[in-house]
Amino acid sequence: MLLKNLYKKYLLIIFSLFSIFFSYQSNASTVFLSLDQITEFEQIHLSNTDGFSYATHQNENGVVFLTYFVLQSGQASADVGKENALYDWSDFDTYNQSIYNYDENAWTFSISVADIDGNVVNSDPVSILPDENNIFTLDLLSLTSRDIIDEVWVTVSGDIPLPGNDAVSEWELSFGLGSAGAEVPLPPTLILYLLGMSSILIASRCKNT
Amino acid sequence: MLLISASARANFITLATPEIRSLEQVGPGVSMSTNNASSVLTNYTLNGATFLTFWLFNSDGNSEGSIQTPENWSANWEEFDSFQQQIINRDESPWSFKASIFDGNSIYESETLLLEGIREGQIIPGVSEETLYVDLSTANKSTIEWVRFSVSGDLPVNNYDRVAEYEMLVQFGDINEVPLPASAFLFASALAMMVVRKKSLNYMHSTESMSSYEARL
Repeated sequence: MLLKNLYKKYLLIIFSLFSIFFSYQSNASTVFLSLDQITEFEQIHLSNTDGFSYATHQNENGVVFLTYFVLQSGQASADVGKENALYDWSDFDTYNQSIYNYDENAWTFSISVADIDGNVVNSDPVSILPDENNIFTLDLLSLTSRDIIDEVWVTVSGDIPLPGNDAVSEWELSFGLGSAGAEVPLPPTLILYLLGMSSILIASRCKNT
Repeated sequence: MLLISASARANFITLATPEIRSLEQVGPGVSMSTNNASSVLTNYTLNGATFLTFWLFNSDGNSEGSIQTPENWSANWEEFDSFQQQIINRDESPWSFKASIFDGNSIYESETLLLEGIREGQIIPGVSEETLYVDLSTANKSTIEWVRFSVSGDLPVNNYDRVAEYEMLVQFGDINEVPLPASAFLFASALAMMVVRKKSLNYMHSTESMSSYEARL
């Protein structure tokens, strides 16, 4: 009887460890830019961009950028990113990026990734309201060379001028999930999982008693 | 008298729309080794233009950036007592603004006005929109060499902001005097009262004369 109980507990522990391992593995397939990578972002694609961009502030949350358009009228856009990035993202199938809009108007943002073979994946453009953020998710599986990511960039766009003759966007490229994460981060997931497993264990013990 | 009343209040000068649109950045602009600011005209508006002044992340503490009339600009403002220019803070953060005028010898400055930020173009007069006023009574008004507008803040404003957006506009009304409709109304009502009083005195006088004549009869 004692051996049987010990065997049951052993099986439960093994099952839990496997579950934790797979839970971690499934979460770790998403890549975020590090703070160092974000600080390397600058205005790119100058030949087909309408605006100008500068990094104006850095902190532990990310980098605040300014994008402005001069005497533009109508739809205009500008790209900010990293060319010749050479990131190895072969272990990841998803890229997540949080963007916060500090401006007094809503601006439209999208993210893009290109591999060394020239394959490009883009997110849908999302209009982010003032003082709000959005987490963009990009599926990297359609890229053929995830081991050499050549370019990562953000496109900011708007129908210039926005209300109040606004032709200036102030936005933050945030580290991690930013200030308002849409997904449950890894530590809370683990806590939730462990709580669930403990409940099952307690319930089973009560039943046995 | 109405004409004199109207002309007496037009003793201030303001930069015209083309002059506002020709304002240029003061200094070399942003760089990673200095705390200079860059200023750019971003759009034309009905009676002026919108500007942007920004600093890079290496600028901290109290910082100032300016736009100024071009080098070949000069003016003779002998007919005017003051300079007035309307300004709107079009940024989401509060910024301080100031006007300066150089007459070849001295710099005359306005008060520094702290204007609150706006949301979705909602301008509140006296809060996000004010008039920069420079007293020219002691200036050598025949040789005005430049007009400068400065924006300043304790960087980073609101812990992130190093970008000021603002609009410079033509000033249409004198901020120091009773507005024309009100003063004209007061003047006209005073004249009307004088006429009414004169008429009533005449009427009373004629009534009294008539009564004494009737009494005599």
